[in-house]
Amino acid sequence: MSAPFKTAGLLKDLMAQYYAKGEENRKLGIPVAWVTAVFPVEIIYAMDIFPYYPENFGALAAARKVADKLSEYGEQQGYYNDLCGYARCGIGDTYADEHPVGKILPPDLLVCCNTQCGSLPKWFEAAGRYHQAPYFLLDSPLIEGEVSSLGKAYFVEQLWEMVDFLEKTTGNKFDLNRLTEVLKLASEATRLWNDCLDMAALKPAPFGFFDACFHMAPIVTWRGTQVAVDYYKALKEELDERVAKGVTAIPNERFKIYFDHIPVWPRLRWFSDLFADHDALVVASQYTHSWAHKFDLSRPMESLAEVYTEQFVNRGFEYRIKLKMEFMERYNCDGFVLFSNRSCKPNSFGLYDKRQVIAERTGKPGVVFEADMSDQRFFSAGQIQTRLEAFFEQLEQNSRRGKT
Amino acid sequence: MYVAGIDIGSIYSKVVILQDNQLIASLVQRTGGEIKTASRRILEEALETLGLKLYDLAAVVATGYGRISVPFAEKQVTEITCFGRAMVHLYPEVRTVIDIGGQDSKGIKIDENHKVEDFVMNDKCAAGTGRFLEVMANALEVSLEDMGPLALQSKSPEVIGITCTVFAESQVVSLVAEGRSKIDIIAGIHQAIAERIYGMLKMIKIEDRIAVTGGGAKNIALVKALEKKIG
Ligand code: SF4
Repeated sequence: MSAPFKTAGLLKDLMAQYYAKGEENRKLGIPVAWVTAVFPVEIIYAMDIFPYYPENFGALAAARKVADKLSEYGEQQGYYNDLCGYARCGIGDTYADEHPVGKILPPDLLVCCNTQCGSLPKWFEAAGRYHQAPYFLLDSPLIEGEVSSLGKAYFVEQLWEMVDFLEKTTGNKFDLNRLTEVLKLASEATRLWNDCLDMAALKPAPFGFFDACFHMAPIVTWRGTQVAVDYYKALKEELDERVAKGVTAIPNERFKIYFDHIPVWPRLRWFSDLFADHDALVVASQYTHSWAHKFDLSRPMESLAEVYTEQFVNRGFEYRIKLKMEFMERYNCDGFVLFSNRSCKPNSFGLYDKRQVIAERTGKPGVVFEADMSDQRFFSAGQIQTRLEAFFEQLEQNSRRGKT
Repeated sequence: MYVAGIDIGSIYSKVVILQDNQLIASLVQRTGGEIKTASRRILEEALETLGLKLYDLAAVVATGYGRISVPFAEKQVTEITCFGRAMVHLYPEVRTVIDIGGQDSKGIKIDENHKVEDFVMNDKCAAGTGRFLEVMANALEVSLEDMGPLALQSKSPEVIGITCTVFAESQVVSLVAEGRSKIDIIAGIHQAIAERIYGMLKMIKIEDRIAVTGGGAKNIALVKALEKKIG
């Protein structure tokens, strides 16, 4: 990973404030809603409800290398270790008698969108039962081929139903003008985030995917607020400064790599060092780009429906292949690495076939490795290192033969 | 000029010493103990047969899963790239290498310039690897070397499921308890491994000609079962 960012300190403070704010807010009468990462949180902000992200809790536990410990508490309750690691962390922490990353915040209500996966709705359902809190599910059917206007209408209808649900359970009122203001802030933050991500296309780049994983928390949790806008302004400025001073993400960047999808959080440093040792910088991933969308302020509800249902996480095989290839082209990648993540079935599905198709179409080398994004019990360093090093050797061969 | 290559595998370690591109010594030993000292020992033993010392070597390259723990190697290269390179010398016409090692099986595609074009490896379970065969030989109380020739004698192999080594072992144990023919069980084991490897190979497109390497290549029944699958 790059030399420490000034913004990193700011991020730590902001995150600490955010985690502290949940309980404080509840005391002030602001309800706490559990939300999912790819979800129209803009509506939640517009209705002055505090959004809490249990997935972030999972990622935090994973990055601090305690996901396996928390999981075990969940497993003792009968939640099997094949489930998503974030869910196992969240459920485990609820039953645990130790809280190495603080306690997961209990919800007053839960809202979930299944655009990402089928694990979240079930996890939220179980948490809703446990905490006896009302639960609302936004259903976003998988778009296998073409986008249909019917699907969009179905989702818009549900957004209004959700507004109704939120008004009834919290007593807070919904106002379309307020939503438009929030969407404006969200658009501004996502635009800035996108600008930061695009800096990785420079060669050498001041910033790569592993850095982006560190800096993505605000775009996930605070898009729709001024805090996120200010944060990414500061980050963008710092990146511009780095470019001006010639500070690069890795010492000797020779290869640019596309990476799918979530990183192996407890081994973030291990991976970034391994790549850097081979002069390779991971420059793009659909994961960090999940929050790089745009809103049409003139049609707020429709625009929300489009952004959150037409995301790649809700798309079929061919769409996902094309997206990866677009990233590879935009960021001028020399090869690609696909992480088959035990936790995340929808993003690991068909990866071996995807690898083959992309390699054939682009002529670039690619490799698949298996592990779990959060749980070190499923990590086999030797196996992964051999695959990745063989991949780096392929990159070397190609560059020697002038193919890259 | 003398150079050496050392391959620290999960079960066996191998050393070759070359003088001006000609093989002049080789040695195979079980990988045992701490890799740092064990790798030095095997290389020194091989050098001794030639009356040479470590400092006589112009370069040492290490490969195999233990490659990163060989302190005196100038360079570490993965087995995958090494196989590609090796075929230049041994069988230049080979385009697909099937390596059946102790803890991994691999399929490696090599292009006409002997560059690794593509590769696949088995996932974490030892099913479909040499270790699997070893576990089964132990369960059946048959020596590893006899497994292949015995399998060839079978007329109706048993069907063995190998999604998991541990489950397969208990299946084998219960088949023995039921009084089924050991030979048919052994033949079934070979077919199951071949199927698993073949399934993996389909991820890279198999192309003629094919070389089988690793300890598994010494097992005639396994090679024959693979030949039958690939056609
Ligand atoms: S990691 Fe995958 S399975 Fe888990 S919550 Fe996220 S999208 Fe769902």
